[in-house]
Amino acid sequence: MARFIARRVVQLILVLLAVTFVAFGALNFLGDPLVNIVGPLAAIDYCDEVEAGLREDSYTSINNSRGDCEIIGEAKADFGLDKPVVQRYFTWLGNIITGDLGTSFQTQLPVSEIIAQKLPKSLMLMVMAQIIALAVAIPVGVYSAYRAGRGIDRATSVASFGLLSIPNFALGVIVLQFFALRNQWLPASFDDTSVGTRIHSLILPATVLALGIAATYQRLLRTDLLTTLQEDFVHMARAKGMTDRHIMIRHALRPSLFSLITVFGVSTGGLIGGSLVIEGIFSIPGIGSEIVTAVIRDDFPVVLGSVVVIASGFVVINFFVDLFYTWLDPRVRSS
Amino acid sequence: MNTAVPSTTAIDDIANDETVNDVSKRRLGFGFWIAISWIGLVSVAALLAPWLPISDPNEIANGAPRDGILGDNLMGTDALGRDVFARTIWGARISLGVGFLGILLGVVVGGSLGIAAGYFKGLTDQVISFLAFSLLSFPALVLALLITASLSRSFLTVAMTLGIIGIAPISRLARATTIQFADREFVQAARVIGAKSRRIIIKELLPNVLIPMGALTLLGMGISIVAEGSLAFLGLSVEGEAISWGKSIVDGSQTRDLNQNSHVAFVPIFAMFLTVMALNFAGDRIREYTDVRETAF
Amino acid sequence: MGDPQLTVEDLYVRFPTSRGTVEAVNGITFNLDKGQMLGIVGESGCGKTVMMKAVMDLLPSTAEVTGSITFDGEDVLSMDKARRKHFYGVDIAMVFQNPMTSLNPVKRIGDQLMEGMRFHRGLSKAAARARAIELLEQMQIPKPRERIRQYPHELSGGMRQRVVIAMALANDPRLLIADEPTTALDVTVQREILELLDELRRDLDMAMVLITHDLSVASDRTDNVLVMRNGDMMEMVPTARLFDDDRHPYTLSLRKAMPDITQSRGTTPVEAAPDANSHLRDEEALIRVEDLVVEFGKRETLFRAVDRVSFDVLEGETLGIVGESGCGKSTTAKSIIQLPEPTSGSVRYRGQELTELNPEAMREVRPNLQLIFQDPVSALNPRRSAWDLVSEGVEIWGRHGAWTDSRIHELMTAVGIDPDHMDRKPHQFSGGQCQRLVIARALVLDPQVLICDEPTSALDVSVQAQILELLEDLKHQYQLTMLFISHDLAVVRNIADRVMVMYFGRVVEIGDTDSIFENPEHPYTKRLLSAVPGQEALGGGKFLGSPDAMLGEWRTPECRCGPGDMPVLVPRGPDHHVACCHVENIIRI
Repeated sequence: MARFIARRVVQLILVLLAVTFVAFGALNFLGDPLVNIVGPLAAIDYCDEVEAGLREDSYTSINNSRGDCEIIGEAKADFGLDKPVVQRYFTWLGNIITGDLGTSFQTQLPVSEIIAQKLPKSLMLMVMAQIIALAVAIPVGVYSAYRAGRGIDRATSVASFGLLSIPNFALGVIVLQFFALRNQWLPASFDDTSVGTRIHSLILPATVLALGIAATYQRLLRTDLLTTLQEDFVHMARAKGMTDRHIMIRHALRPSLFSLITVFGVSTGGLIGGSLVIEGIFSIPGIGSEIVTAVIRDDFPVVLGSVVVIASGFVVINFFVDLFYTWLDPRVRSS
Repeated sequence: MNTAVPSTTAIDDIANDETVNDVSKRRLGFGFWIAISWIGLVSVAALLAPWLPISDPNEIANGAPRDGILGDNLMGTDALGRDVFARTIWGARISLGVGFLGILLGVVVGGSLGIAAGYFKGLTDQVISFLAFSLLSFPALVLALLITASLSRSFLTVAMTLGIIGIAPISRLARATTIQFADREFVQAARVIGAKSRRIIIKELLPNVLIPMGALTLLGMGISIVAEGSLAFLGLSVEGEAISWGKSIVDGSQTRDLNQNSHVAFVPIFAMFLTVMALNFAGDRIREYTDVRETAF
Repeated sequence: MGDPQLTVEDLYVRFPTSRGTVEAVNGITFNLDKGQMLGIVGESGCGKTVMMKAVMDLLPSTAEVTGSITFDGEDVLSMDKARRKHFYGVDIAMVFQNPMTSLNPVKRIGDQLMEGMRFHRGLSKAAARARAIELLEQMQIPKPRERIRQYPHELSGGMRQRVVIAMALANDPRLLIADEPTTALDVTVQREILELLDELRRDLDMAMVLITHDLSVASDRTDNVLVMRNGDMMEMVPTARLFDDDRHPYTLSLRKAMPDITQSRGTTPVEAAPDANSHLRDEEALIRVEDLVVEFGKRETLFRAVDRVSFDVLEGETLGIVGESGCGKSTTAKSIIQLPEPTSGSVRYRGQELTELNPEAMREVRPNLQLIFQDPVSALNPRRSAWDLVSEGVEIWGRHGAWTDSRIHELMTAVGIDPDHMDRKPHQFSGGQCQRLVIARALVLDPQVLICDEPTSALDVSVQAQILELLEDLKHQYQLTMLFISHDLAVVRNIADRVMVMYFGRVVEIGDTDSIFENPEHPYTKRLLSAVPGQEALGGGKFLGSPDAMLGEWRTPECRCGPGDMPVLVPRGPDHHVACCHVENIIRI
């Protein structure tokens, strides 16, 4: 087991390196890092020529002050852009390990501070969504497997199928319109006054996020339970005269949870993506809205910092899901 | 469960099976054809949009602004008086277009990588799997955001982005399916009678791997269409005047419109919902239908 | 007639399906007296399991059960809810076929044992635990206090089946139904479990139903035997009269299909090599394997499946390789065709060293050495037609000489596949027909050697007899040399000229079939033979200690091999060699 964990930790570190590299690389290769850093300036190509001594810097001569080229030059030096990408990556990596995620161009605030302020709201939304999803999916999944083929099972299957086909933003828009705007049963936007108001105002968005995931969980659990119910040990338990309830919960449920647990990790990724969108629809000032704004404003350090934090969190969650999975199955645990 | 061999050996199977619903598996069914018809109808409408007798989707004040769904225009107008029905049909062009191109890229690239990893194993597998694993470490939408954030967002770049986020999960599935079949005895049997690797891949593995991949293409196209919508909500869908379902839904979901004029958002939502559901349903049916039974006794 | 424990009268079980009603059990009537053992025998799908599941109320709710089932005077089918709650698992209990799957993999053995006692008898946790330990002791399971904290996967198959039996007996049932309780187990373990069941039945004065496909298993221990076919009862007879000549024709045909271990083939063995010091007879043998080693895994998981095995196969003979699961018999045979490639050692075919060939050169040799798989269904690509499957070899190697479509036709007819069915996919054939397709596919290539890896173990006994007969016929018709791998000694006796007995990756005894079966020398061979059901023990005697204690040890009474000693094969007859460490004590000829 210790050896297994050690191997997983090494794997975790490798993946985290890959994740940071992909994120850093995407923003550096797909766009010009200079644009990302100094904002959209018309004269970057022009200044390259100036630097190469091909022409005079006319901007400086016209303004007789700090020309764009000067700013660009400073930026290049400041951000070490004259150095090779790999070297820059490691410098940046060193910084983020020490907690320095850079400074926002827009607000001049440290990115880590922005994330610390926004992330808890998003986390709260996601945790609520997962709780709702599991609380709905497990009982419904167990019951529909128990009643497989009957009316109630068919009805839940149709409902699940419908929920899987409706995009979460569409559900969000419909729910917002009906529950918050037309009927005003629940708030349409985030209320940061107290813990109570926070939870209250997150009920709608969390439910929207939860329903799609709950449908996935329910279908998966039902299928796995039906497979487990064909197992000999279930027949054995029935032959021992155990009650249906005892068999469903004590015998069949645990061996049927394995795929659900794996998907729990994966669905967290969908949840993160979903909350990027849902935060916008329900005006929640979380990390999702922050990223969207930052992208629009080309606030490169905020985008990079947030993406790295989110992706790392996702990797770490899956790491723990993996360990939990292993722990849950005695066959894997002992080998 | 048993269907093909009407023999008494089916009895023990039946006795062990809680739900005896064998016929539904052998036919694609009425629902499947309805789903396919809907997909066909939307695709044709999208392709022929410029020649259809509908209003110009970008023409402002085509009717009175915020005309209701029962007004002069077939499905009303939006805040600028643009025809909602025409915009929905034109939106299908981009939504279905990026969805189809995206999943095509994902299946071709991801599928080949996955099959290669699953068949050759060893170093090939390790490299491909690590790359896929690294890509999968990003939530799909975050990865899409990373790619599109610094690019100009044309039809092609959005389609490409949707394709890239599909590569890793598709390659994982293709790899798992390939391994599942590569370990099977009939592959060993082919080797015993002297088949070469190329023949084994083409004759023994591909038919078994491609059919589940085909079903996946339909399911994946639905996911791609939804992903375009999500990108639109992040302001990262196709730029400019181009219309997509996602962008139309975003337009209609501004608080004031949504409250008083909800059909502007609801019409494209409904179109997207029906299309995604049809794709999911058709994909599911094909998967079940082509799932050959391998135990006859 | 004595005092009936279970009476079944005119029992029908029907399953309504979309294709009409399947009649699984058609009006069966029988009586089981207290303390008696009834064997129910029939091939798969004959309704034997369905019938007993009806007694146990384990059928799906769609099943229609009519007739009457009376347990000790109580009507089972109309039993009220309160009585029913503490009936199954208390008065009547059941043991299932596969011990690997009958236990919940994620629950501790103790918890699984205790739950029935606590539910039905309201025992406290401590009392239930004490009883669980007592039960495991009764099942002759060593260290019961430690076992109850273990999970099922930590136990061997035989141990698990003991736990399952303990679970069934937890509440002292008056009737135990055992559904093929030993089919998934090795022959020596099978014997131990059957003996245990028999002993328990007598000690506890309990009635028992033993469901089995194997007439010989039933004939050893039951008082009466009920023979079923297609849901109908063929006959019910006292076991003592099972082998009389006036039995029902179906019983006779089952008996006929049973391979008979006592029956010598009467063939003279291929002339033994003059040099009695080596069990390798001929340098020019068709196949000659020397010091073959096959290892799997690496470092800490390294496992040596085949350990320095040498043997040879002369042209035209059939070598049977026997042993229990995991002994390396399949790996040995398959590594001849380099699937898997041996770790070390030499494999020569017609003098050509196969281990040194590159993949392309090996591919050229492959048509000569064909393999028949254990599970024919998984050996056939489910998406291709019978014709495509059988003709594939010709497609690969090209149509030339005799390799034409007419040869494919001829072969399909020869193996008994109707040429009209050539467009069908594998799942449209039965298991036996699939095996015929596999054989035809191999023979299309005109091979010299056929390696048969348990070709009949997935098939019913009557189908097995047909396939064996077919192989025998084809062997003569096409002048084949065969390697026949099987765990079933009776089958091997009927088909092999020579036999090689393997145990933990090594050869323990090899030689002429009659000589091995009539004068087994190695204690393991004796033990294997004595465990075969349906016959009086051949005098092998019981091994000392529990079966688990045997694992991997070579300490055998006669050979006196120490744990570190490497036994060698020493001659005991003209063509009979046995593994032994202390050669000086054993050479008597």
